[in-house]
Amino acid sequence: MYESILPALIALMTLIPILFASPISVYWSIEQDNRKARPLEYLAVIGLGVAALASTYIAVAYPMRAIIYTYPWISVPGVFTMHVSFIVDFLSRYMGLLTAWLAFIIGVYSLEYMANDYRLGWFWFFYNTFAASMLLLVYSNNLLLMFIGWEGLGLSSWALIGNWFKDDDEITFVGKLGDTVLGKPAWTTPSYAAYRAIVTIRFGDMPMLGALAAIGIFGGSLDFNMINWGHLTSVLGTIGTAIVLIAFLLGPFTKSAQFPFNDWLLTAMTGPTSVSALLHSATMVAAGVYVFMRLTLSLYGAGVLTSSGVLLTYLVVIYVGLLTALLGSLFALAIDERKVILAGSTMASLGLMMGITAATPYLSSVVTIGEYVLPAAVLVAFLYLIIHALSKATLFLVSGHLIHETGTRFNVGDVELAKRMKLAFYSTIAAAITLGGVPPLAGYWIHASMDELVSSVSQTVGWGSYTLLILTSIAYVAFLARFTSLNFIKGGRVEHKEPGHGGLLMAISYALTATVALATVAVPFTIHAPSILVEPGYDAYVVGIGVFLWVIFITALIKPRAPSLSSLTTIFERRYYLQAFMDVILAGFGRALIEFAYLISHGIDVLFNTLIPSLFTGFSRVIRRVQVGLLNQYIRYIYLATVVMLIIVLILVMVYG
Amino acid sequence: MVEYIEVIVSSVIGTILVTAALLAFRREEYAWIPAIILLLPDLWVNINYMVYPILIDIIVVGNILSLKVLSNSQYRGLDYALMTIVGLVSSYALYVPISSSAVDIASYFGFLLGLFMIISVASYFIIQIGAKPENMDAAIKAIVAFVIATVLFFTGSVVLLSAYFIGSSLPLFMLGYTLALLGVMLEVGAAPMHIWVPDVFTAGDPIPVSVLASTIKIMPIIVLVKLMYPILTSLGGFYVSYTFWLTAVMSALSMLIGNVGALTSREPSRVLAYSSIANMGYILAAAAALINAPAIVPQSSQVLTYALAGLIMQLVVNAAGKIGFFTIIKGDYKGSIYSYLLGLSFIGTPPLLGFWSKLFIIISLVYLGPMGLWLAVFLVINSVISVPYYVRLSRDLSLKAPSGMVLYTVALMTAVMLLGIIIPIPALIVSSSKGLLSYLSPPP
Repeated sequence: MYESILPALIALMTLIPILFASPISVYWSIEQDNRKARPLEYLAVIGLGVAALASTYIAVAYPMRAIIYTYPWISVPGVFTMHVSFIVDFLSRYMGLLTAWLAFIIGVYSLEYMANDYRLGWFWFFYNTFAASMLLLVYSNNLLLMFIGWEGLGLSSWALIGNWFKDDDEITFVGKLGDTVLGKPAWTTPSYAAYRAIVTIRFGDMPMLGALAAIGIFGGSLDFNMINWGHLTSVLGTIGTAIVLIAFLLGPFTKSAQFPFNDWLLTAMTGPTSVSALLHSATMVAAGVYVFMRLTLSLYGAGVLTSSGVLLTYLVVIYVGLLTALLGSLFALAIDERKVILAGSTMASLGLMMGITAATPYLSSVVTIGEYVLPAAVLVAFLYLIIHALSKATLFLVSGHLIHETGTRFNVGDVELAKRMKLAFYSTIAAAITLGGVPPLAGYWIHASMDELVSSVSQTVGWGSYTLLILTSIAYVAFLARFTSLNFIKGGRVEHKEPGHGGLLMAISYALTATVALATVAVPFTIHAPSILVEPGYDAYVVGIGVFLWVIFITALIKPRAPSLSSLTTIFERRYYLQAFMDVILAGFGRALIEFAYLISHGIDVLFNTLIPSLFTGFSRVIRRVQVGLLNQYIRYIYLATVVMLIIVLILVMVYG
Repeated sequence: MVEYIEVIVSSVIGTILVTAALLAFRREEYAWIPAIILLLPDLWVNINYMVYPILIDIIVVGNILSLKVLSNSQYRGLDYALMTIVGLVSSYALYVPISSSAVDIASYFGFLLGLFMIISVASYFIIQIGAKPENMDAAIKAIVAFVIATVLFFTGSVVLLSAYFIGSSLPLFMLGYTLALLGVMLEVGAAPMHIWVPDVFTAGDPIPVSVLASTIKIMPIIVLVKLMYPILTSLGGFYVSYTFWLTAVMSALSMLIGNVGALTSREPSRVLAYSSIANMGYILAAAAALINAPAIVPQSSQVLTYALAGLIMQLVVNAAGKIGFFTIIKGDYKGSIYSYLLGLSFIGTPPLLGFWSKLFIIISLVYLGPMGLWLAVFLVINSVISVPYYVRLSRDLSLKAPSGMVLYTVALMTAVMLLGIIIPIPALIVSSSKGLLSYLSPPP
């Protein structure tokens, strides 16, 4: 029964949002009137509501066991059969719930936030496609089907980041206008940010698609639960397996903005804030981590997690992830644009999720929930994903409201503002303490678990991992406090032009997500895995760290701008010069390639248009030069030709005769 | 049962007598009618092989019609008769029977040399047909070339045959074949013995030149093939590698010099002269495959069949195109669409006849194995090189629509090219050349 209605539920979650968003995009292509379009906007959000209800049904009503629906899709008889395959397991039931509800709530928020936008048809169509693609990806059990959702995410993110394609409003930019590095602009406009996003993502998608092919060929199937990983690892060997897995993970690396593919995420702040909120919480960037978790479960199920090729790959991922986490949080400490701080924070969190998930092969502990068996590291990373999504969505939604209120994208705001926007201030504090890892909220217990996991694997993978984690935790809580302080306490007086207009719908939205984020403190205690999720939090050493984090948090609230960091600020403002690297060095390399290709092409042109014809012309003239018109010369020529032939005969006779 | 030779001889004598009678009554302008009628007895062959004499007859009829365009023929009346005799002899050349007894073989070879002589002598007259004073230089050059060609061919053949009959002497054989091949090449104008061709084709009257460029080229090639095929079938080894490589290299040289030479030539007659040299290259390639195939790939009859079909068709395509183009030149460059069709056929555009002839030659070379493959590739490259000048030639010769006898001649020659569109016809030529092969080798 559960299997058979699953496709219908998936259809509700993927097709209905897109269908319900279509009327407004059709209307908008004919006439652009924000007031008349209002009902159609509601319709689009209702589509998301339907998806949210369907996901709730799955999360609540489905039994706690893996349910897989399979139907033949592409079949070459006797060679292979590809399935349309959906799965409900621990990951997908809660990820789907999170995605669908966040998409809905942020959709409600957007009703107000985007009310006066000039591109509503475009926005809603791609917003809903964005959510639907993510849901398809979440529930799909087949790599190729998943890839469709994956590409849908890429397309929609491109469309949404570049929503304000006119590039005419400085408030939508990222970076300080007029700032240049090596002669190239260090600021980014929406259209350029969209381009950067799609280019980075495509860079990862191509090797990922190749890896999909390799998995299909050597693993015999593209269904996560059917892939014969044992055969793949034994055929390809250590290096071969690592290459295939790294190629596959280049997709998640680029989409989940792991260093050095992180820069698109930071410039993606040019999109509407509601897009940033969804993109940074439960869709796009989470997709990469989610797929990595699913891959890990698949490898775990096949029992090949500890084969050498997999271990090698996961070792790389641990360090890439934790390095990304540290770089992201350091960056967030120094930057002065509120959304970009949050982007850096997302980058840091994604790094943590990646790194923690990658610790799986080095740990033996598993958690059983219902009939689901999850490796401890995957569970911890997934719970972190959830609290991160809720908190980060809250913070972004608040930022959007602040941008409307203050008329600037840079940090500004004092206690007066906090008094005026009480719900915003409450939500920010709630999200910050939940996410920051200070006791006794959800983040603390998750951080404690991470601490425990990483410290136990660091004996195998090296202490660098643990160092990176602790540094990240400290920087993380510091920038959250800094964000709070600079926007509500010590950010200076707001030069207010026009006092608040409405904002109730927005405030309700983020207050809701913030409250849910606070409530997640119950999660570690409701999952019956105290040794993993609760006990580490009672460890005296960890409690000490927690207290220390509170100290940092309070300090940063009081003194948000640390003078000692100011000399480094330039590096952070330039985002580790990655954009300059891409714009100047990579683009220069591309330019050189183009020049080189032009030279070759030009050379071919010259060869075929000039050299070869003139060669033939010259040759032709030589051939025709013997025609002097004199008979005696001709007879001499015939005589000569005959003699030459006879000499050849003579030579041949002497050689072979 | 009447022998084919008797039919041919009777027809030749008949032609001579009727023409003499018309000359006696000063009615030589009607001589073309008996000339065409008396050409037709050569069709008296097994119906399976009739394609070959039919093609020869169409070409000769084209020559006769084009001669009518020429108003100032020196030998009015005789010129038609001469064409008929050349046609009859050319038809017969392929059917000269060969048997296995030594005496018959000797007389067979002797007869072939005689045929070569007839054509050579006929061409002395033909080049002078339209002779105005300014054409005489061309005529003299051609005649000198033909005389030398005949001498080379005879000397070579005699040396070759003595080497063959006396007992295989390789040096003598090589000397003989080299001279005989050079003779044939000089006769048909293949590089490097092409020296006379551009001048004669440019300076001569277009109509006699068209005869020289078409029908006259058929027989020497047929004689060469008929001469060498039985000899090389019974020899082998180094003999065959020598004859193959010599012929193939000469063929490649001829293609290259012809096509490249034509590229920068402006005058249509000169372009056609070089085109003729290139065509002789294609034909020599087919001949190389044909005469050497029994020794190189003894089991394969495909090489032989396609080589013979390609050889005959390329001779016909070359002849039809040359008659058509030269007649257009004679008719003040009025070729309209016909010149394009002729040009496209020369390029080898499917499905015109020129495409099939080249295709069959290429197929035969490919079946020959690595030895022939390079030549096939070279042939294709050469066809590509030839595209620009044929297009230019077609454009230059397409000023207006032709009329009168020019139109009839050109239309007939274009129709020959269009035969390729009717797919059964190329297929028929292939199947009939399979049977014709029995006329090339003695029965076992």
